[in-house]
Amino acid sequence: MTEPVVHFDRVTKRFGDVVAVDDVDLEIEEGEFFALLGGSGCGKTTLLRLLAGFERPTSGRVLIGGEDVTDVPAHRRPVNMMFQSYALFPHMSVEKNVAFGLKQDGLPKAEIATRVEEALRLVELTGLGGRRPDQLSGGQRQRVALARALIKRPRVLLLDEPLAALDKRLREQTQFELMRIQDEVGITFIVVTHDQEEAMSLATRIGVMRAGRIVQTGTPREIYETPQNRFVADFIGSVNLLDGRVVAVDGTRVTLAVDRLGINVIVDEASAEVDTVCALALRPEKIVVSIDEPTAPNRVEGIVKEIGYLGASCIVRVRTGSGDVLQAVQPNRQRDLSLAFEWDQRVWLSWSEASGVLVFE
Amino acid sequence: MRGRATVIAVPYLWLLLFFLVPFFIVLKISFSEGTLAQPPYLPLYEVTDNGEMEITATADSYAFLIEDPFYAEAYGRSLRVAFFATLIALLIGYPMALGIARSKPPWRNFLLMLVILPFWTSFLIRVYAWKVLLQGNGAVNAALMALGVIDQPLQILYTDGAIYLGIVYSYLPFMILPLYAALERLDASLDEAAADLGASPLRVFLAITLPLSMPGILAGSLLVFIPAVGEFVIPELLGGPDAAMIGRVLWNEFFANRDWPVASAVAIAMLLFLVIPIMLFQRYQERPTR
Repeated sequence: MTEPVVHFDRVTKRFGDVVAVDDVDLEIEEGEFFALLGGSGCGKTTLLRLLAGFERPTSGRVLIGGEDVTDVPAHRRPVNMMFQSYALFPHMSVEKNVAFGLKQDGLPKAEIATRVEEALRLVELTGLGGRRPDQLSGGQRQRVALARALIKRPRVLLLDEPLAALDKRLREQTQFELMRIQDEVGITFIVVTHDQEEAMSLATRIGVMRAGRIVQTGTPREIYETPQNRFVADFIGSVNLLDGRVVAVDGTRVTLAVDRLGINVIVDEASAEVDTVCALALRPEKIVVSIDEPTAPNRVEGIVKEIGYLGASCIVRVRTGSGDVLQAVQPNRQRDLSLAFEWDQRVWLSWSEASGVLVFE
Repeated sequence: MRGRATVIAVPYLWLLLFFLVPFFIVLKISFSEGTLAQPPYLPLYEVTDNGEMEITATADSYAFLIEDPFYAEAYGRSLRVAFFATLIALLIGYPMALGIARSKPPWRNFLLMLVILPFWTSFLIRVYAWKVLLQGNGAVNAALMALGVIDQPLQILYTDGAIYLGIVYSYLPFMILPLYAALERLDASLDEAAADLGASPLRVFLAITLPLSMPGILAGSLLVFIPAVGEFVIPELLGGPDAAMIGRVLWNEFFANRDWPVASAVAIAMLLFLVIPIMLFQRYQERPTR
């Protein structure tokens, strides 16, 4: 196996009494598009700043390309960062902003000019080199920041909430743009975001952070379909959590007694000991709503309390006899809005044995 | 709308009354002829007995300013002293302002308060205090001798050095405050971005911090330079008898020589010298940044 391009070796960072990053051990491979995902104050930005060299770890080491850079100042590290505020130099033209990094390396003027032009073409800003940052739109500023950070061809590009300041349409468009650019330049990208959809669509791998720790890493699919704990299950997308106790184990088939609903649930491809207290994490789109009692073994009866129309699908909230509310998402396969069920109607919810996953913590 | 107009009109009216009107009075005196009377100048025109108007206005006072090299020297000296005092204040004030702006927020107000603290004592008293400190047997000489730096008391008082010291000391807060205001609102992530792109701390300062604080540098420099040019108290108290700065010349013409026309011409010429840098500053400020 090759050397990881980034290695956080048991890194801890404290600010006074606050532990911002708590014993993080993380390796990121060359060419990855890695997303650090978490709520505000979870330490994801601090982790990025530790890598850029703006913060020094309280303990642990930071390695880039196998080299210990813990004591290397920011201006000597082979990483570049795109700031959340973009941090464009207001007194310099777009060209000068983009050229800044190369100028620090003392490159010949002709080469700087060629590479600036190249970088501006990459982010589709050709012809705007003479403008000042305050003459640009938000989307254009974001591209300038990107070009400026990319021009030195860093080992790793760090992006701090790169899309947060853009409106929704532009954000979606820019997501694909970022993926195209990463593909084109082949640089390892590490993006920090609080937006799980953004992380899922951009990244090849996600690290979910909570209270300074990385609670799970994996591909977007792994994070979504097989969350390892309640927090990840709950943080990524919506989820129904059915608390229960394991009553039978047959190979990988586990039977969970969900006392509150008064049912037994069968879960395939799981592993657990009998009597373990855990929960079934069930995504709303995995639940089928029907009026007739289904034949599937995992089913529960309830009353429709709410139907939310989202265009592509409907969110249906169903209250079971115990008072618990389960969420189901039903695709709108037909234009006809008259669904087979209405508010306050008695319905059945059912799901297959392989559609949920057991979470323990 | 009317409320806003009033708020603006009142201070302008005030300025009109107490700046513009005196200015025109001084301007008028500068063009009149001196005389031994009360007031010590003649009117600009007289209406003779046969009803003719006789213009008695004259530019003699200005001609006198140009002819006598004493005045040119005084102007030159004032501009030179003010320039170097401003430069020294900038070199001392900039690191201080930067230090305050970069300190932790709870410290900032405390440090700023220390900068403003001298204002709680009268300016005149503070300059007098320097006079006492700098005397041959004053605290400064005593301290230097006690430390073994010198054997004999130094002649500090009544030198140009004392004038510089007095001006820099008195006007330093006027340099620090606008510099602080400019530096404090600089986005720290700009420095980080520059460092991230490979700029050493010195390069970050030269390429980012310094140019972005230029409005503060200009404002602070003007606030020190302008009053320093016309400074009267400091050269009078701390400077030597031959330290003819324009403020002292002005005072002497008015009160010692009672030559009001020449004194007024000196004042008008000084004003012109000062208006030029202000206008340059205004043009810099208005330069379109967008």
